[in-house]
Amino acid sequence: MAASIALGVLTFDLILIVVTGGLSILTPSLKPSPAAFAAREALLALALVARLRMLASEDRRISAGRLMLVLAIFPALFHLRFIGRRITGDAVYYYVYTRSMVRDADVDFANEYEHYDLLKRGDFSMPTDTGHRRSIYSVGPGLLWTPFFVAADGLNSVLGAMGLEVNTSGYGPLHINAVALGSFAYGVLALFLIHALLRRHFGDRLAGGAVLLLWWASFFEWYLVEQPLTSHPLSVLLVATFFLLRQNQALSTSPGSLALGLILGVGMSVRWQNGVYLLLPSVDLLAAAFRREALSGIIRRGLLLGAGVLVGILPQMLAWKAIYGQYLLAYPPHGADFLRLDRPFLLNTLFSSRHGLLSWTPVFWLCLLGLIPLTRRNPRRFAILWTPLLIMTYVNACSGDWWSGGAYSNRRFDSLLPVFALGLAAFLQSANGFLRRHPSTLLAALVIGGAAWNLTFVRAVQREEVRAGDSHSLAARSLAAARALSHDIGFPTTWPASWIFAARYDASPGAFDLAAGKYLFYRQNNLNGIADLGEADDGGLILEGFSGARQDGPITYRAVDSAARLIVSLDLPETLGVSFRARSSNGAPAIVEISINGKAVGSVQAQADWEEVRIEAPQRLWARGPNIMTLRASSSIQLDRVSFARPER
Amino acid sequence: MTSVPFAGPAAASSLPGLGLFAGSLAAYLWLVRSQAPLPVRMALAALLALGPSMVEFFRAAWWSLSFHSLFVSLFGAHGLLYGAPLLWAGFVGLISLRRENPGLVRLALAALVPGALALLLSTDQLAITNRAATWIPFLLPGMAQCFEKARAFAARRPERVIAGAGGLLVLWNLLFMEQYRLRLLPSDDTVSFAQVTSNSAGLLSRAVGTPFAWPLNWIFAWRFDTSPDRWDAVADRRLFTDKRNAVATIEFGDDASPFAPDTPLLLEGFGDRRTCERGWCRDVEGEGRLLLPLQDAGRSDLTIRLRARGQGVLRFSLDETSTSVTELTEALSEVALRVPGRFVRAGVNVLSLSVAGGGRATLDRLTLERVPSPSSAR
Repeated sequence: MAASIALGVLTFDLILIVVTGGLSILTPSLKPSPAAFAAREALLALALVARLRMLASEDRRISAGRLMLVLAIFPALFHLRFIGRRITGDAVYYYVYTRSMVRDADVDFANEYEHYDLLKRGDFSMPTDTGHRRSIYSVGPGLLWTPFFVAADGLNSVLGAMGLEVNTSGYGPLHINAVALGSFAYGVLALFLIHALLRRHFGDRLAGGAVLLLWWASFFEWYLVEQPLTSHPLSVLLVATFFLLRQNQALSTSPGSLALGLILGVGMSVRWQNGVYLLLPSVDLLAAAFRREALSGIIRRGLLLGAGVLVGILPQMLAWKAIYGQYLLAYPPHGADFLRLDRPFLLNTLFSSRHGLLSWTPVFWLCLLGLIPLTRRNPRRFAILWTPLLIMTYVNACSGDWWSGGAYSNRRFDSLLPVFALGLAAFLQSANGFLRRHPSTLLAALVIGGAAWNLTFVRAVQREEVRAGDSHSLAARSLAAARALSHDIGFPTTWPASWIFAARYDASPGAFDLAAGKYLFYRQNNLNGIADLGEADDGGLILEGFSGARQDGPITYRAVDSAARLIVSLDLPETLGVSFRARSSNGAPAIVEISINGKAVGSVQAQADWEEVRIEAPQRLWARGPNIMTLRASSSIQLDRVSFARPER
Repeated sequence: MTSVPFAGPAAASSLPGLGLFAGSLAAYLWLVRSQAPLPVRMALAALLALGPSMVEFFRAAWWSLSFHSLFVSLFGAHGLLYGAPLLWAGFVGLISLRRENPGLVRLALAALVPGALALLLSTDQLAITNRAATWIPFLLPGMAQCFEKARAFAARRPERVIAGAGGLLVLWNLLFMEQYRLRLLPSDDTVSFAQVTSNSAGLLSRAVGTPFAWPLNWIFAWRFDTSPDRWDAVADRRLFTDKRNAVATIEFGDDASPFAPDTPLLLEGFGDRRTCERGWCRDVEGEGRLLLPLQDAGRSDLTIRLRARGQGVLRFSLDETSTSVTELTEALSEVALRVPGRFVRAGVNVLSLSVAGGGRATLDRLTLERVPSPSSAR
């Protein structure tokens, strides 16, 4: 009893510190430093190990897998408290739902947007048909965070009664911290549910290891502690709950069917794409029909499932009704062209350096590979997992910004984490067996690693990235070695997309990194139609034939001695006016022949002084995605920039 | 043993080095199989190990003995264990082999101990790989033993090996997260994975040092009150590139690349590169420190010339021994400090600069010049 009280006090103290930003019941007059916070965590961790493992009776002892997860919470909580951000990126747009629903009992965000200085922004300045301000974000996270917001109100009252200064506006750090901690708690709960899902198939420890690896080696850790105020922790929680309910045969009973539908519906209110999972219970019900179960029971459970879904998505429908005047929107609120199902960017979504899922977080390779033995082992149970995996991957690849905006890795795959966890556990299980049978694999890996460490540096010297005798920091050595590696065989996490890119455009696979996903005009952070050569970030534009960056007063440029190739990406082929700001290197005029994707466009003449010369490139020459522009100069020229102008609209 | 030919670009392109290694390998095999008494074979092994160092000693224009030389030969950026970390397996394996095959271990130690001790010798020749090529074959049995142990461990506890591999994935992710958090990468644009790798390596080596240089980089960081990543770029650097060079120059800010030679030498107090008059410079605000890795110390006096401008009085000193105090001028001009040879340490020295009253000095160039000391002239 005393131990439980001590555990409770320590836990409450940590929560209080996180929420208030420094108030502690153990040291009321002293704001805990990071070291003091870490010491409290260590104490609590020790107490938990003693209480739940060492001193607990065998039947009440926490499993090793769960204990690993419990202990991993502490470094994550430390990050959340001292490092993690709060109102950044999408967070503000989810948080305004919470505040508006609790404080104003509506979803009119005018006052919240005004507080965050967003009301002047183009898309928020005009009210919708219902007089509200628009939001492209889902209502679910904001709704499910309300208990934490209300709890913060309660804590505020207590602190106020104690005579402390409090901020009751709902914009203060206490409310935001409380909601962030709530989101963190949802995410941690999701991990325990995934562990429970995996335990049945892989045992406790392997399941724990898989969950731990997925947690710390994927984007989930980022959205748990660095940007907790997003929909991702909740989305994973609801999908994990759905999978666990389904695994526990919830669909075989009426209450279970209703609960399954409700979870799925709420999940859709959190992230609309979770609706894809409706497929699974639908297939389950169809399978029941094939097994000749009573039709009335199937229909009843189907109706309850549907009712649950409807109730679950009701908050989203009501929010849309309030904001847009419609219960269901024909298109995503991002715009009609946001989802283009005829235009998937599959390789980019998975492998691009712009938040590619596999290139940024290669742990997902293991997840995908593991699904193969998993499906082989029990196709009737697991083959169905490929369906949501493929559908969601396709949908994500068809999103207008397939790179998920300012994301860490491709966060839109969050709903698939339980599926990935199953694949990862299966991979680890297979790898375990393989290594037991072929232990020399470890030696091969060590030798390959040792050779790679040296060979890449040797290649860097051969490519004159560095000089052999010079001493460099590890960062500089790694830069040179990784550049050489990328140039020769592509960066490993971009395989095979970088090889396909290299083959298609007759370029080094290393060019894939900066070129794939950099657009002339398309969406945010595009080039504004200007390929500015000689600038620090022009690496994604040039393939070969250009000199190093040079400077002529304020002008930065690159020289072309004979032939050079540029790469520029378009989302939509259209006729473009192409202007070259160039001059000849030797003072005499130089003729430059231009071709696009191997087809001649015409020629321009570079004079002795910097001048802009223009040529028109018709639509038929351009392709969607990367385009290769080849310049063939009669004599050496210097190129400052190439500007692309779209026709007047 | 693939690590030896791959022990660095110099080794890969050095045919004599590879020949020496191949010859030593053959000699090692002969010594192992020979029926000669063990003491004789041990003596031959020691001679083989010391051979290249002795040749270098007689060819050298100058030489000195220092632990610094030993440490950088093993753990410096061009060091054996840094460039070929798998060689560690050879040393570790010998420990566990000492009971199973003491004769083989004694033979190995007969070569390894004098061979490694010979690395105390520092000369103008930069031939670490050649000097080690004759005793590295003696690591073979240890390496084989270590690999066998690792293989048995992988068969017995594969889950731990997998946990280690998983740890690498976690490390990749945490370092990637950290650089994204610190905005070392654009938040919404394409990135170069070479840059990502470099950023991660930088974060890791700044925080805990390059693992292949442990624990020397920790000691270095503690000694010079800096981060352990400095070790890699500074420890085995020689400002005077060879014996013919009497002058060494550090240009401040001229090179903007990540490989800029001045950057690793700058400790605290130095600003970003900036234009000054017709070139590039760096500012020192108040106080600053600069690392000067020097070999062949103590043989001649050292004149340090600093081309600088600013307002106020600039004070600079080497290792807090010799000090120069000079009034700065508006235009770039040279200030000088002569340091007697006995005050110049073999290895890394620290040049401290301070501008009176917390002012700013703009530095263009630092020139080091060896000058015959009056005592040697006599």
